[in-house]
Amino acid sequence: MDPPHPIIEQLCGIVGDDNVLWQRDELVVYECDGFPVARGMPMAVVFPTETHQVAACAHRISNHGLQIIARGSGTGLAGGGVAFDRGVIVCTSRMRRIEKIDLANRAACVQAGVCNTALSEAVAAEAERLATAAYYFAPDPSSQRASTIGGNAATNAGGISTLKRGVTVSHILGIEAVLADETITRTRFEPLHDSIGPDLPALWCGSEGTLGIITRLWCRLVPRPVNLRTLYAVFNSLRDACEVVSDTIAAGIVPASMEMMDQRMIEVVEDAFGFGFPAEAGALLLIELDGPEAIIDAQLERIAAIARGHGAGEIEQCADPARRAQLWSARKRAFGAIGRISHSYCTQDACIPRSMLPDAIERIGQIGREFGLTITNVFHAGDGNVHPILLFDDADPVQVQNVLRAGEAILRYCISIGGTITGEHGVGVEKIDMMPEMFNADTLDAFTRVRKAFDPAGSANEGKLVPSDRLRIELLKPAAPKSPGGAMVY
Amino acid sequence: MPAASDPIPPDAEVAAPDSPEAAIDLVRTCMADCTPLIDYGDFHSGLGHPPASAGESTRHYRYRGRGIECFERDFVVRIGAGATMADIRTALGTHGQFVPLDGDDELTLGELVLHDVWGPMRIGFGAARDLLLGVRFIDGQGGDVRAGGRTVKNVAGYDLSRFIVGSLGEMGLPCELTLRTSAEPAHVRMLDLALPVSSSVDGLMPELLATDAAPAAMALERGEGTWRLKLTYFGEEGETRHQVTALEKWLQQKGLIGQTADLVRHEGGFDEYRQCAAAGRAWQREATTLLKLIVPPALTGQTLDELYRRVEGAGLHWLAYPAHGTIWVGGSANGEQVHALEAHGSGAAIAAVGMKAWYRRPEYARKMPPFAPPQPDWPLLARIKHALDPHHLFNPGRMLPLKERGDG
Repeated sequence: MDPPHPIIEQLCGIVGDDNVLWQRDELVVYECDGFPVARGMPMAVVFPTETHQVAACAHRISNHGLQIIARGSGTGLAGGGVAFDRGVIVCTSRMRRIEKIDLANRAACVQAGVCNTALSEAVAAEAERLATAAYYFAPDPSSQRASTIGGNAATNAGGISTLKRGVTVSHILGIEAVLADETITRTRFEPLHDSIGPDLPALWCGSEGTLGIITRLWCRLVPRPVNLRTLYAVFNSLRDACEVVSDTIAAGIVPASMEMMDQRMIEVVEDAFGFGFPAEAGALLLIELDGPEAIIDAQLERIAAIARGHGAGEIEQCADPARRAQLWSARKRAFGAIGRISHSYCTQDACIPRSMLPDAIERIGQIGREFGLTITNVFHAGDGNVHPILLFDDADPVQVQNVLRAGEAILRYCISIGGTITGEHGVGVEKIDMMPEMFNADTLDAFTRVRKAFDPAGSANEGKLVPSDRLRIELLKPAAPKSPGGAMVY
Repeated sequence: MPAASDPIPPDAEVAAPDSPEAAIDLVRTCMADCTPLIDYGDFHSGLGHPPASAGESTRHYRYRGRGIECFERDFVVRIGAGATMADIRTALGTHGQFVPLDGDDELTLGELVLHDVWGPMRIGFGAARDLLLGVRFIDGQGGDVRAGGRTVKNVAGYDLSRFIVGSLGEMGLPCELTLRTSAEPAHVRMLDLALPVSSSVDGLMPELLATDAAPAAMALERGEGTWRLKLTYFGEEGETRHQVTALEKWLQQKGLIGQTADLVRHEGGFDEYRQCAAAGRAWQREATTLLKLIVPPALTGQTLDELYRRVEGAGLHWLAYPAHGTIWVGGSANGEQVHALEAHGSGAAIAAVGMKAWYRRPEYARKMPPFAPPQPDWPLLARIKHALDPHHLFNPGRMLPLKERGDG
């Protein structure tokens, strides 16, 4: 079968036939990312291994008037890595070289396709070889075993440790990227921890492939925590648990993580895995501390006292790695447990002021009832980053519409209380219709002008992150469970 | 002595908008009459090229809005860009909170952010780019741009909040800034360790930062004829005691205490730290010569030693942040020293693929390039500036090349 478009042959000429997919049955895997509602069939998927190949591919794709869609491992949760409107996916997953680990400068240089945990593993091996202190790459999204560092930067990924360690942008020292006109551009690109001038790496982080394709990064490394403690506490009410979160931080303690599950989620997890949690508890709080042993032991006691002051029922403080792992597995397996009770689920990613958490969870529950949906909650309590999980049957068109509308209602409410529509998953195509509700016209116009400064032709992932006049992607419900979904492009 | 490049003429009128609306009016006025808007700050007037004016006139301004709204339970504060660090400390102190950025009392938050001012606390708390959650600024079209917000995580839209940090006022006119705060520490311990040579620190940093003795604040200074590493610990009294004990053990293991027998200890409250840190940088305000070098952190001490030797720096002040590779040098340098700083400072920056910037230099040194070497991202930054400030109103040519200047 002949390739359907001349671009295919050109891409093969750049990267070799083995690094280009264009047959339909090979492309199906790439029609969505971690947000399966947004589906679009790419024209091709190309796998460069070097920056100059990325540049050559971008140039050819753009010259044909096609969209350039940057993609790492495809773990994105907002449809940012999906190709609409005759798009070609430039997948960096084969750009896996760790170019330099520089422990003396606490930095590492990697290609964009290096997996998040692979860097930390390589750094650990190097530290052991040199008999030096252990360092690692701190951003820890739940996808970290699969997600790429380039993708982490492009979405400014978070994770459960962002409360203490910050999001990905705080760990990026420099970026090399390719623009749609094949220009290879760099910010400062050495292991430098300071600079003079605008923070251009920060602009790249979270840009979701709409400015260009990130190809290499200098990453900041930080000391790997050695001493860890976990506190588990259950409460009759979510409000009490949230007060413990605020009081802990007010006491000058900054835990590594503070995670919470509501009553419904506790039931689901307990039914699935039998951890021994009291299923009738209103909220479960997990707090992790790291630091000097003597200090975190004392802090753990202080937090336990705060928790008792807010009526905690059970409290457990542990240092034992096996028990800690068991407690944290409850949090990490929460999403997986949903599969036992619901055909499908959709999760939102709003972030709100921490003090508003109790009111927000209550309101989210109300919204669920208004739309006839069950919503459970698991969230990064320390950050105010809520992940309401909306349960539905994707074969029922009414439920699908209700999920989408309930999701919008939740985000609209979060904006109204000073929050944001996305704390860590990104806007992509999923939340792009909410952008005019989040930002005023002047701000959206500034975003558009900045975007055009990088990509005047509008070739780089247009229609994502920033609303476009030229390309509007509207999500459609799948016609049936086994039929691919799609998107209407205007 | 005034800075060599003080861009405000003595008789110039300085506009003082005190609200975003007033700032929008000012920008639109300047758009209409094609007049650049200049604010190099009260403490950074010598940094960068002198203002490039479109015609004969420029308009100077200082933003004066200084409202402070504290979201106490969230540990977040929204601040008018004209508020000073003293204003902020007073307002947050009533809530037992502070913004962990080292800045002199008279410095406005707007000037701090636009010039990315930071100090010893960066090692424990980060700098403005790590603490800033949102910015409201007026762009070059008079647009009211509100990037970021009140939440500690936010990936909606482009991160223009962080982007304007260090932008030297070229990208927009900030009116409000929203930042994270921290609880004011209950107890502070400070240690002052004498080192024979500054290069002693180069091999120590990665290990020190991974121990229990990792400090909340750190700086390396030249004083009393020797280099002194100043470490500060914040926390409860028991916590700081534990960390100082850990530090002393570690220093003994490294053989550093035995050699110097000079470890000075202080303890007290947070105000003591502030006063010590301010004293450590007080010379910068009076210096007629002030140079900043950025190198990879592992080269900080070596660069300091080399530069000190080449510049015959005994009469100058030296301040470095070894965990970040940042070196400040200056004072009342004589002509030979100024030229030596230029030659060897530029050489060190270029060799390390870092950067050098003159923050203040005498009039006779005005032809020395304010920044070296040219940075790889300047062309793209110039395009972004044109997008945000199409009429080139804001501090045109201060750092980024303008085509009419013929810069690269």
